[in-house]
Amino acid sequence: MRLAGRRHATRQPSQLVLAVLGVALGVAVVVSVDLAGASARRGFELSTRAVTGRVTHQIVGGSAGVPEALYVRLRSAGFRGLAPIVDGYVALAEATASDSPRRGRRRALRLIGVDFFAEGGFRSYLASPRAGLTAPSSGSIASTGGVGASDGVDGQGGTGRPESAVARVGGPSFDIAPLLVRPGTAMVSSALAAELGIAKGERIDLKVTSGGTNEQVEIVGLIEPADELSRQGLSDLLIADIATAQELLGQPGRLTRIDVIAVSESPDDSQRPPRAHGLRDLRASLPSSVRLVEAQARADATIEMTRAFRLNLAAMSLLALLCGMFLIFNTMTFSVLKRREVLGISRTLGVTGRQLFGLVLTEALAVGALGTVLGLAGGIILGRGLVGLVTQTVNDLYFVTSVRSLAIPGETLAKGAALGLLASAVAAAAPAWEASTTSPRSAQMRSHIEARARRWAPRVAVAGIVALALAVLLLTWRVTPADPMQPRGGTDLLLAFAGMFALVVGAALLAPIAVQAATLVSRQLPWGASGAGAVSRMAIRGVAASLSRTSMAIAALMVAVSVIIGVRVMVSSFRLTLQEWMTHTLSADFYVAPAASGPAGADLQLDADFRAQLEQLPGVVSTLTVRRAEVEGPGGPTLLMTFDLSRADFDAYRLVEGSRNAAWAGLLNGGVMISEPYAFRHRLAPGSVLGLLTEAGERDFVVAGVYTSFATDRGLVMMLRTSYEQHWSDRGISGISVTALPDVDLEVLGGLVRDLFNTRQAVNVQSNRALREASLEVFDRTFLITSVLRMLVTLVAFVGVLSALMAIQLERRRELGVLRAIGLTPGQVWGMASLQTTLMGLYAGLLALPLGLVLASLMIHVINRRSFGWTMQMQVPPEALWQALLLSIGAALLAGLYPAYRMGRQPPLAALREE
Amino acid sequence: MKYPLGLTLPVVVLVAAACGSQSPTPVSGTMSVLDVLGGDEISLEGYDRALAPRPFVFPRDHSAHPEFRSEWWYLTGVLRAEQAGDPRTGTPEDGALGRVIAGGEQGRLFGYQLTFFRTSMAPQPRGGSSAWGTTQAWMAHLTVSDVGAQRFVAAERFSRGGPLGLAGNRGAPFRVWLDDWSIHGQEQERSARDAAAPMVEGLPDPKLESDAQSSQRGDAPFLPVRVRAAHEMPDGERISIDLRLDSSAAPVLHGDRGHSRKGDQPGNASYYYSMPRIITGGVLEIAGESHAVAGASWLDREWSSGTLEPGLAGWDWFGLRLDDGRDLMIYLLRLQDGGVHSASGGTLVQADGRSVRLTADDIRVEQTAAWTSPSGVRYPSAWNVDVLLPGEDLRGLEIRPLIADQELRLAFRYWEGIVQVLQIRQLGQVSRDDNFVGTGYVELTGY
Repeated sequence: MRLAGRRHATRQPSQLVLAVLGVALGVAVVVSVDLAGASARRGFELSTRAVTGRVTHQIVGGSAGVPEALYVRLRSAGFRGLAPIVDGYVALAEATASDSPRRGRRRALRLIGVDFFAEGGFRSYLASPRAGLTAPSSGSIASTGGVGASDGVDGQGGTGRPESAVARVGGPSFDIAPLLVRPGTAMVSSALAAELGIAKGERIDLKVTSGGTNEQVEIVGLIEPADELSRQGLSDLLIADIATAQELLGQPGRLTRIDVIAVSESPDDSQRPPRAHGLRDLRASLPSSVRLVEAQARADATIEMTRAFRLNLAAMSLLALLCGMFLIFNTMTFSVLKRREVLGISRTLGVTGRQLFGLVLTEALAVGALGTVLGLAGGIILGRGLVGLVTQTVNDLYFVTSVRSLAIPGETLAKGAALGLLASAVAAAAPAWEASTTSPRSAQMRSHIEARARRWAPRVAVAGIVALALAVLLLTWRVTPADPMQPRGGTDLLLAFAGMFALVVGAALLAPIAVQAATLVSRQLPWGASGAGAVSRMAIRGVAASLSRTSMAIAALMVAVSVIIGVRVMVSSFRLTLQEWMTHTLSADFYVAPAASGPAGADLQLDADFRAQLEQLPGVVSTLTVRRAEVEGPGGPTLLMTFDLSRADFDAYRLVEGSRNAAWAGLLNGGVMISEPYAFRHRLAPGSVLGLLTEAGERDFVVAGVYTSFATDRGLVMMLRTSYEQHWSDRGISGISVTALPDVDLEVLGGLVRDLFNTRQAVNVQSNRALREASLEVFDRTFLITSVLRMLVTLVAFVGVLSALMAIQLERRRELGVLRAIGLTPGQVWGMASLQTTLMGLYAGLLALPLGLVLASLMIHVINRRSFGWTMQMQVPPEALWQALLLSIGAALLAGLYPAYRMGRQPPLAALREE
Repeated sequence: MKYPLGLTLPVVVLVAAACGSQSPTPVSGTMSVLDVLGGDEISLEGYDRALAPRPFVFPRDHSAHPEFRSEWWYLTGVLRAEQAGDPRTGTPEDGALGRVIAGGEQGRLFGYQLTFFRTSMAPQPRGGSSAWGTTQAWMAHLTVSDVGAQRFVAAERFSRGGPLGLAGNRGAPFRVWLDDWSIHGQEQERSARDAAAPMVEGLPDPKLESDAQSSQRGDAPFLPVRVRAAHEMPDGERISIDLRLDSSAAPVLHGDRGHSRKGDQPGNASYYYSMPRIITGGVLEIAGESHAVAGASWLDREWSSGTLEPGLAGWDWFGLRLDDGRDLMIYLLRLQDGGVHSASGGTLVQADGRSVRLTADDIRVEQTAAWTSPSGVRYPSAWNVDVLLPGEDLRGLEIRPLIADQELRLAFRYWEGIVQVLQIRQLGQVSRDDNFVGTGYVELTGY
């Protein structure tokens, strides 16, 4: 029996190849997306580990950070295990950013200022026995404990000492003196130095924040990472003495945070005498303006920001696997059909239905296993391509991370393998059951199966309707987390995706009956009834006649095309909404901001006196400043935007909730506005109270209104500058918008604005239009990965159509042989076959239109809302619909070309001789 | 103490970082003196050098001399637990110490060391706007020796100096500190001290030195000071000292009017003075117990921009307080070939305060026993010392550590600990107690 199965397989290799390909593609897409996501996440974790090291807790403040005096106070009170950190982003100037992928986008580096004296035990690369650290002025003294105490002035450190002395020393050391005694010095990893083409002792130009123009930083040391992990973690780090970092970042007197290594206070410690300076004492010693937080929880929260993004990608990839399942189903159905005689004879010979079921399932699993293995390999290759796209998006939207290599966790591979096999088994279940339940006699009749398929169409449709009902249920079911402090969205989002899958499956199950209906309709059409003659009639009926396979091909194509429609409509709706929002909100003519590409929340400042000078420029009507600060809110860092708004400026904001007058009054009263995603994530509404950590401790702010903002899906809190200055001493400016008189030549004014800054500080002066374009560029880049995935789904569907058509062609050899024998020319046969595929494409396309629109609506109103909390208007571009239809037909036609060619070429005798 | 070992502090700091100063100090990562004193490769350009005798001005010279590369405030002390309910009475440093050691009848004997090392990483100021910006690096060591329990605990601290105030030195009131470890004069004493004119001790004629010093006896201007330091071990055990250093004779200037040579080259010298016998009392904590203690402390002050000359292996230092009121300081610059450099020497302070400079020829030190530390380093562990000055009876002194293992296995590894001094007298040798003539501290580096 097995032998028969194998023989069958070898006789029909193309079918198998396509099935394997289908599974492989599906698995590859799932695995690659997962790998890319995991790599981006790992990149972040590595750089976090490089930065946080063994840190267990952090003392953090708001936008003002932590006053350095607090650190001094804690040290003199005897607290140990503390390390002060000044942390910020700087941008490489163009000249040195030779690897900059896009013109105008500068590479951002993270500048970490540490106190080397306090670093003992904190960060492995600064103190790992294996991490060789080389000092520039005294040559390589790694792991020798060499002299190193070069004076840092003449650069003539020494290394020559008695061998015996060197041999005594086990630990590494490096010369920190140059970093300490000379301002403007830093270390980078040797890999980054190589990448930037700089050597020890060379200087790199940096665009930094407030207080200056381009700063030069001398690289006085290279860090040799001990292993690949450290290498990745250090790839975008600039390490400097804390004094230098304060000076470069313009933060005198201020620390970003204090890292803490707390001795674990495990329960069995209760036997011991109480520790003099435990975590509890530390917390009790802190002023109310700072907070002691767990380092890991903080890193997790950052990764959590990208969760919705990664979940969306995963859902897209699962759609590809769904299409792959159709292929397995198709192949196994076909193989059962092809072997109906063998199966029938087997039944006659006493093979049980159960055995046949097992046989077909085993075959499917074998195909699935092969496909899965190929898919895993393909996924890794594909993942290498996708990781760049994912990382880019994460960098644009969330945080700076760099991924130098693809992480391949076994977990992802196992997940991919399980999915591939499971999908194969599920897809083969129906054909296997088919094989096991047919009677010995009927199994031999090919028509029996087709008849049954037609008869079953209503039953399958019923299953489809059940699936649709389930979809509705899943989409409307909301789970409210018990803890109101927990940001919501996670479970609801998963339910929404499950509902969407149920919807797609339901629609696919409804495809056969829809095809039957369409065939009936087609027959009534004039060209179907008589006009075009026998060939077209045969083509139309052929589609319905081979329903068991054509319906699946049509369903697969329909799913793919509907996804294309859905995603396209969603993206274009999103884009239009964004454009409209920008038009509405961005009313100024110029926007001035420090020049650097950075993540959301990078703390960059402008010189405060620029504003007055800007207002002096001829033609300038008004200016508006914004301060973008990161403060501690519920659940961690919160982006706080501070504006010096007038009522007129305020009217440009679009309110989602709350009345305009009440919101303005609330703002004037010291309240805050929150963006829609923020309201969604934290379940806040006008009138709610939001606790923010100010310099005077935690303060409650009343939510005055919820406004539309697409600036970040993390969500924003907005308040008036006057309120901000009441609670924070920070007087920095992150950006200035400039509004000009209507009749002013903007080109000329833009030039003046640029001239004003260019001599003093590296800034971007963007016109209103340029800013919008830049925003849209980021938007498009974000959705680039979506279109890649869309293409992959289409590819899988295409293979599905090809597979179905090949099956039909093989199966109808005899029929075609007869047709050829009775006088049809190869051209006519070809025409008939092509018409048939065109019809399949048409049906799939037509069925995909409503499904696609429903999917788009779901993505806009449910998925996006639950992922990011954004509301947008659904706008359907007509071209999205007809292009999808064309794509559907085109794909089917293309897939049908080869089978049709084969059909036409087939010698009638050979086909007839088969039996 | 007699050598500027803080010279290469930055390297030491980083080694400490490498080993993780939080964890029990691993031996493998520590360094000996030779590992850090790179000798001639270190550029000293821009620093002042101790080329010739200079006038000492107190209290100014108690404070830092940042124009020199390295400097330290080095306190060691021998303390005895007092009787309960009898705080700070009785005279410390009396002959009873011998009985304490021998029989423990008057409570346990303790030793402590608290040292602040300052190193300049560059001769020119750093500049810049940050309060963290500095060229000054600080290191501090704290040890407590519990003779009764035969325990020795050592800890270290590192920090930068500079305007931020994590570590440093101030003049009025006197304060030297690193984190929560400090030696500081009390506020109320400041006004009295400020009223007094600075005491000038720069003496052009060495013959007059001892007379001038004796006139200042008992009232060194920066005393009294409070000395506080505490450290919690990884296992939760705390050691701490909270002492009051009350009064002392005037500073003793070593070498040639305080100019102490450390080698052949002219700049390889330091400015060096001591206050060998400061009356001390307070509280000391070790092994979960606090003890009211009293005794005497020895302050060594030294600053220089020298380097360890080629051929030198390290040094041995002895700071001994004899029960008869005399103090003896000896330093031996050991050569790598096993000999002793001719610049070695010492100072003998008579009970009346007069001090006598000792040259290498005036001293004979014979090592009589050795001890191997857990880190595998072999240190001498007993010595016979003779002072060969005519008319002196300081012969046949036997110096023995009161605890064998007083090795500081820290970033910088050396042995420094409490010792007793015995003397085999010519006549009337009755008991071991009677052989006891003093206590002190010994430092051994470069082993």
